[in-house]
Amino acid sequence: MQAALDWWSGKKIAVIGPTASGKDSFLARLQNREIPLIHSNSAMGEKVKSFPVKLALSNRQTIDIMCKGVINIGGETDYRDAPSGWLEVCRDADVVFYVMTVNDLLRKKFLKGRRIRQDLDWLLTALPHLKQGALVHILINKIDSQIESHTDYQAFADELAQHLGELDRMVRSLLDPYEARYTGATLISMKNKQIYTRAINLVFRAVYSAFHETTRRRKAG
Amino acid sequence: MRAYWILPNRQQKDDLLASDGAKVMPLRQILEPKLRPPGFSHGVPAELLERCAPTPLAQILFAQKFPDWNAGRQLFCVSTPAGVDSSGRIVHLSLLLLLEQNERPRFDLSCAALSELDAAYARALMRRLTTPSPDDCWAESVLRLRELPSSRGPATNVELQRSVVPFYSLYAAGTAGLTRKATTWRKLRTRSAIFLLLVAAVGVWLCERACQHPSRPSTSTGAIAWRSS
Repeated sequence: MQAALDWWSGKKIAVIGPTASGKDSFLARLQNREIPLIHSNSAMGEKVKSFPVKLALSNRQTIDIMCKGVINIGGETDYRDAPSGWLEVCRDADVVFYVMTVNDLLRKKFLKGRRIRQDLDWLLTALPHLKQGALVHILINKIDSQIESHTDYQAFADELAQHLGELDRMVRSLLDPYEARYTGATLISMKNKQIYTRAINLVFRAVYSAFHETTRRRKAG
Repeated sequence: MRAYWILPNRQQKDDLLASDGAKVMPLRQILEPKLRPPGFSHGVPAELLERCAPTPLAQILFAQKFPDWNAGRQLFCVSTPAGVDSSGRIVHLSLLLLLEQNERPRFDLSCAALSELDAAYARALMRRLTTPSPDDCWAESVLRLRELPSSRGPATNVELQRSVVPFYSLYAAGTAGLTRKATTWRKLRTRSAIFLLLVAAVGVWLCERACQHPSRPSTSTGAIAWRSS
């Protein structure tokens, strides 16, 4: 685990995704502050002061990351395609987090022509302009509200697994020849602190493992 | 001049919507995202909302002026908070003006295509800009921005600290409201006055010192006569 801690230290992250997917809330969680009850639909790209992130892991270890040069930006496609939009935000990032919602997953918004797919198409065109080796991880937010609205958890889990598999296959084939940069998708809740902590631990390990695997393959190949 | 409303995204749609007064359409049909100037804001930046608390949100106005935007044309945009969306986030209504070179912005646009709620915010915004009350410093800041010479470059009515792009600004905002920033000329005048005051103070001090030492011989002055032969 020490290697993962060392790897994450000093990494730059970018957070993008559709409007109301939970980007601001993710930023609040990383800054260890509560999600404000009323906040604003981001109107322009704004710099966020550098802040330290301390992630408590289950084995009493912590990951310390200094988030520097963070830019918070809106989720409408207008921001994605603007000159000082998503590309500027992602350009120097080591890891790009794409935030979507469970609703987007269940409504299959990753199918051709729909919003998530359009964003992933954009990502494919953006990847050559990003930092060499920049990784992409998908966060699927708002799992808490879906859990609350279901009673048959087994059926719901099966449905989720099926959709997650579909999304995963689609992303891998779409991002070709950059599929190795994709580190997976994780269900998360920015609102529920317990789910968030468990999920973010998995995310940080998954991203590091994917990086390690890619490096190993590159060396072997 | 072409004028449009940029409508509040109350339903959290993927695209921002706009209206020319008569019909509603995606904003990208009017203003391609790629043509939007760097730092262009589709509403009131979050930093202003945070910095100006507890100022009532409805009072806050944010305006941007891009004098040399696209082939010499200008872009002027005024935004105001306009209620909340379906998950309680503050949303914004903007009046976007696309102007020819040297054209003066006019705040006049129909609200016919807007919902009742959006139209109420739109009418209130136009009223404030066309007939501002004497104590409405936010409206005054927008009107001053309108008159700002183009040579200043991209400018905003209120100073931003978290903008990715630098802007010239006229006012600083804080919990106490808006304060007008000193212009270069005013700054120079203040500095000159301070310098003159300092010189005067040193002069007075030297005089007093000279008076306190009367035993010192006074400096004799003389004249040299120059005689040409």
